[in-house]
Amino acid sequence: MFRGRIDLPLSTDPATRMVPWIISVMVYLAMLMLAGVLVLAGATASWETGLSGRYTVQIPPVDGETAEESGQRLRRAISVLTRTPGIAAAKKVPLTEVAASLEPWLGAGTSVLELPLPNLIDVTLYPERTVNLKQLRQQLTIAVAGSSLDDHGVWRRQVADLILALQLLAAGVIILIATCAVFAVIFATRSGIAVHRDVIQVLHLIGATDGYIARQFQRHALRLALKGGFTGAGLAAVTLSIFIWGVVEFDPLLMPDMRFTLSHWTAIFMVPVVASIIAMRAARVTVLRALEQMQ
Amino acid sequence: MIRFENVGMRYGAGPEVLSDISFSLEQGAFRFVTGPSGAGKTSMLKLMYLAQRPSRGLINLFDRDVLTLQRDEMTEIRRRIGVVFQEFRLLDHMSAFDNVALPLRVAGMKEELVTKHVTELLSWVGLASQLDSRPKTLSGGQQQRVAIARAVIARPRLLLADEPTGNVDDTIAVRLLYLFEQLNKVGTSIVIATHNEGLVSHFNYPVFHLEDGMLTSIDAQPAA
Repeated sequence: MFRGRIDLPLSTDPATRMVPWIISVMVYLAMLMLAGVLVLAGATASWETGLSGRYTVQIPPVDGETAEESGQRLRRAISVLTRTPGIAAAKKVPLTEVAASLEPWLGAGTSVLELPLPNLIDVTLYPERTVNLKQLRQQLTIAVAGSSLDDHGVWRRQVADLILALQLLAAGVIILIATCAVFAVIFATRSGIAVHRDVIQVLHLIGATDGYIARQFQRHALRLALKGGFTGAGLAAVTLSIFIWGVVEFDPLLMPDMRFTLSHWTAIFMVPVVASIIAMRAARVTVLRALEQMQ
Repeated sequence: MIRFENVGMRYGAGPEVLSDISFSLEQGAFRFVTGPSGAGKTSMLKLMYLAQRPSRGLINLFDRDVLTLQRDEMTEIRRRIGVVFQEFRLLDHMSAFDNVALPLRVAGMKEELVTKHVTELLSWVGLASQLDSRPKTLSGGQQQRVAIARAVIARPRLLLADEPTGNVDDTIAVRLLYLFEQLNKVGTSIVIATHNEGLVSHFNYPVFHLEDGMLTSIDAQPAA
């Protein structure tokens, strides 16, 4: 396929000169999009893993309450939780951790520990087990008035919906990019057919099949697409490296984990290969359709 | 092998350039097609090498009705026909060698055999030293010999030549006709369109004479 003879002087066509550049830009954008989709998919999985199977119980402070009374209310809640089937552990979140989690919003200078902070209990479920949330909430309210239980369901659903929307958007953009690349190849191929109509006619008259002529164009399209594709891939690799290996630093709390696995890299670097195959097929189909109209 | 029955042909919506052409040619025939410029010689050859379709009538090539041929069948029939085009139609971006090799390559012949056959044939037509030359660097006569070599390299069963001696002097013209005679002796049918009456009279083969798109005579002897 790569070394095949090309009987048509396709490399001299002005219309094909821009094709590698167009494909390189398309591949570059598609690779970055795909990398973004994979990062989001990883982030979703990471957040899911972190939050699924966990609840948080909040016990708000009561005015005038002593530390002893507050401790009693906390122990009652933990007692209810540990007696509930399906719950593996229920531990108080240290106030210092609660304070640390509030610090980004309240500022480092604020004496967070002096604020009336609620007691938080981190609840861990047994894997693959479910808990009757309605019943548990009732029991907690009876044991500790004002307590609340958060299964993070709303937040998880909202984040999942947002990520799904972003992934769909990215997939749509990738499809759009692929469509643009296909149109560029179709335009260049049609131009080539028009420019080399006489040569194509001679090839037909000396016994060349439509398939033989189509192979000439598809080989040329493949070469152009590989040239452009791997140029774009190289540029995308440099860009991703800048993000991944710390040239640009992000707050880890704000950014999802950007480590790519081997399967991620394989998927990303399949983009130029897939783009080349699409370009080759687009050229072939275009030529075969055009030749059907010729004598 | 070739049968025309009341064939008419027009280009697009234009007037008929060929009208009521009827004849048949058996395998191994040698025919000249003569007539003045514009008489329809090239158009008749185009029908034979399937570059055009008749607007009416029946054309039978190698026992197949050309109007019912599928695209792959047309390719198969074209591979049995060698054509020397009036304006040569050599591919300028290719060497003489590659031009002549083309019919073998499109037929899928192995490259070693292609090299052997093409080198032999180009040597035979006196172009051994011009294998790598581009057509534009060759003289008219040399280009014509390359065109003829391309037409005969795949040993066609039918050779159609449109003014094959138009660009060469009489000596080379006669030599080329002897080449066609040799091919005819090994079974290739030959149809040569020419307005060179002197050349036609030099060889004792039947002549189809065209006038204004009509076949006016089918002579067993050269036209006077």
